[in-house]
Amino acid sequence: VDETIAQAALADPQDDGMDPAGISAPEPPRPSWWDRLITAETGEGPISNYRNHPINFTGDDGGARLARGLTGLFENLNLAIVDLLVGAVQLLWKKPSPAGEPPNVGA
Amino acid sequence: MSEHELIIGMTRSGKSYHAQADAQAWRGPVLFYNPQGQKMDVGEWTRATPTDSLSALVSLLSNRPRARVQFTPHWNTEVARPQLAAIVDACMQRIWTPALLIVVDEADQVAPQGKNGTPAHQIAQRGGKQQVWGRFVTQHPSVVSKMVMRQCTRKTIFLTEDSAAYFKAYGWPGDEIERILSNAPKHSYVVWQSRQLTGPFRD
Repeated sequence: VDETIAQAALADPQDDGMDPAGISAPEPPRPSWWDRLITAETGEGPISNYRNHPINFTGDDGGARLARGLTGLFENLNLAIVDLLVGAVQLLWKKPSPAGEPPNVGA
Repeated sequence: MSEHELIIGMTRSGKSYHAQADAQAWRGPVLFYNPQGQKMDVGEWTRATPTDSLSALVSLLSNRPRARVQFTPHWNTEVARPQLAAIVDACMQRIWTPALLIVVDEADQVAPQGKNGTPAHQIAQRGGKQQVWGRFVTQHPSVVSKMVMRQCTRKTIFLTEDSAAYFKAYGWPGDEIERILSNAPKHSYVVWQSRQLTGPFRD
């Protein structure tokens, strides 16, 4: 089939990811991870709401504050990274005392 | 000259005349992409439009080493670009002897800054292997794809508006270019090639 130039152009459209205006619209700059980290708002609600939060493994206000902050950062605390982070902190928290050292007060 | 060339100049600076004169002197066939359908001042040109046969156009260029064809595409840039792409695709199917010259007037419409994968890119990046060489004509270097600019080993520079700083940003002697052209007769140009500035010249 002897195609015209116009027909050949329609048969082989050039999809190069441009907007119809012909000028590429610049993507808005994506904030860096650091910017996202330091500008993230904390989780919703007062600290008291987080006292019994599952990741508040200490059960005190410090743990509640940590849980609220993590909620603000990750929004959805079902993320694996949250489990990894909290699990790591728990492991370090419960690290056994070196041999010969007296037990913690109250132990 | 078997190389890609960028031709820069403001309106009425003489760049289109230069591109036509250069095309007429080319030893092989020439396709002049003429999006505005402007009058060709130098030599005789066979006119082609989107309603012409693609294979007939390529045959004409292939069979007549002195073929001079000007192609005026659809007025809409977004329609015109695929039309040029279809021609370039067809031309890239063979190795040209003698070499084919494709002059892309208003190159910033075909390959605006920030856009990739245009027919101008195909000529600039792959044309050499097929002996297809490009002349990319634009009013200002800032509006044409940098990728295409980089492939042009020869820069022919006519009088431009406020380009000295832009030239300097690319390592070109912007102040010197501006000084020479502002003191030279009308329609003069300089050439920046292999980090050497020559001129002024006139056609």
